[in-house]
Amino acid sequence: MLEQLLLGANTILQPWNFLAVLVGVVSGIIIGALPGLTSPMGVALLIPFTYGMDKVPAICMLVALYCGGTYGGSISAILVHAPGTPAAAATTFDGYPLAQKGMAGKALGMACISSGLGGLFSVIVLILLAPVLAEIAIKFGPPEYFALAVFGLSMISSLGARSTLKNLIGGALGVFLATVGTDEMSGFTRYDFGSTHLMDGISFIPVMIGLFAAAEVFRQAEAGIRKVMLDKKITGLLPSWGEIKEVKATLLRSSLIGTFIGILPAEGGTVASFIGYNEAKRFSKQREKFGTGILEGVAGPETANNAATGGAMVPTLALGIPGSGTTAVILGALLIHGMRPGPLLFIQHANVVYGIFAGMFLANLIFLVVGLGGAKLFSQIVRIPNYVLTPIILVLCIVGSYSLHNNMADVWVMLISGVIGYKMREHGFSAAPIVLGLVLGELIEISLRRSLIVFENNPFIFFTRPYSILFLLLTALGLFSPLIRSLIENRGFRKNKPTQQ
Amino acid sequence: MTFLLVLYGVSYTFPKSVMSETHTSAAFFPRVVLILAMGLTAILIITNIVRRETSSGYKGLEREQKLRVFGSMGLALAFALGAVFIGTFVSVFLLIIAMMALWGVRNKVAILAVALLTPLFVYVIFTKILLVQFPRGFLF
Repeated sequence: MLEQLLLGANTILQPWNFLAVLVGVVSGIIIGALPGLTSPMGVALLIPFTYGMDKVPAICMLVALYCGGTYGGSISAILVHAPGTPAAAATTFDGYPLAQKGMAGKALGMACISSGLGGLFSVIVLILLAPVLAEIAIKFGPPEYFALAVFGLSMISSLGARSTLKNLIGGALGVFLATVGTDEMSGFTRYDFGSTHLMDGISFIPVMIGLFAAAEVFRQAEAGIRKVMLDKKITGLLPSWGEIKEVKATLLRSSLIGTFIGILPAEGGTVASFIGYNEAKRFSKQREKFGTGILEGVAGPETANNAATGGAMVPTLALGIPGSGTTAVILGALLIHGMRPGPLLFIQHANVVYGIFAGMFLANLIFLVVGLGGAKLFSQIVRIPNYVLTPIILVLCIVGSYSLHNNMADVWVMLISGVIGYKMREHGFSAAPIVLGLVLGELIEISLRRSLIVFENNPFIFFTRPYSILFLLLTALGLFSPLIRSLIENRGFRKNKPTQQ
Repeated sequence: MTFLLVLYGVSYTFPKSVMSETHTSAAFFPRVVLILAMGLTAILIITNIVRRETSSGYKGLEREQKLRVFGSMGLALAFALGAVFIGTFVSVFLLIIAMMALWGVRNKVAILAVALLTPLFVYVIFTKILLVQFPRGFLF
């Protein structure tokens, strides 16, 4: 493994590959710093730029954007009280009060250092854990893959930010969209409505660009012109050694929390940052100061949300099950570049996998340097008005979708997805389950039908194999967890009621 | 729900394989997914009726918002239709001017700068570096 890792490091340190990671990190910080622009959207928009690139720099650039974007969200969270990404929402609790006290520089510095350390920790876990997981998964047959894919889909549906039911409907629609085109097993076309373009199925990339980026353009149009005034001067970026030592326990705790939550297929970064913040507060000696502007309150969520990035890549690479919305888009990019994530990726494309590991490690190091060095510059990005950015994003959506096959049909798919994504968001639906369903749909169908063929149409096969039972039990637990949680809460409420009276 | 029912009906038009007795047909999986989606949608509708909620309490848009949103969608649509005839780069230039004007931007320097630099960026990155052939139309 060490040899392959060194080979990966050697690949990523080639000047052009290094440049790709640098571009990814800087784009990520910029996208993350702008409220409304999120990592999945950034990755979806950057994919067209990677079409002509080699596999390693292409994927590393996207992964670097993911890492940089997660950190970038803290810039606007600290400076203007508007989290650049949902994962930075918890950073506003103490980051903004720190900025109001004139300590914006220190808050940005702490956010950068803790994000970098959290990210590096999670990459080490990724390097150690992903190959082991892949080795276990290589023994999986179609029933296990079916159960695993259903589990992955159910987790993001049940743990998503909004209604469980709506997320499940979104996931089902995504899986349905994956059935459009030629059926791999019978050769018949489905839902092509006579269109030759639809015979090949619906391409992930235009749908992703539409749902994440074009829908955001229409949402920004709804909000109208937004300008951010920034009157705080940023000075003294580096926290003192003493201040870093004070939060070392928080850094370690949040790294562990973030990595673990990232591994679970769900909206990793956001959940991780809130838990990271709560746990930092629970264990802190200065608990009462949380919310008033304290560096520990920035370190907790920022370490956790960046630690979730490496964690989320573990199931994505080893099992082919994305750990978050952004990794679902990265999984789509891997497919575009001719690689199917899963255990075989570690055998067929070991050089790429270890290149990605090295690239992700490098990305975290780069944003530590770039983030600290360029904090003042990046803070000015928050000032860019949305009326300048939004038309540019729409143009990138169009040219990016067109570039996939040099075909206007992809632009139409993107535009329709954008309108659908915008309308769905209005009614409380989230784009991530649809994308996840679309990405996992083929795997779910093929593994289900293969299982039925191999085991003579016996539907009980899924309940006779240990791993398959485990994943289905976890699926049931994931689906019913909101119900179980509310039942427990109601019981607790009833128990406490007489005492309160 | 109606849309899902229509899609379910369409699945009966798929041809049947000669191996349909031993193998699942092409329609099998879409039907399973559609039944699941219809079941979930029915639960959502019933839940909304019981709670007397409209979908997510959505309040609708004001006139100006509608103009910006549907105007932006219309401009994107016009771009997709027009690029083939008048050329991609001219379309990008026009799209940006129209969109910024629709948003009520009055700063002419900003409009012109964005409208000129964006097609230039697209030309350099996509046409020259990534070698993408965009529709040229009768202009550029």
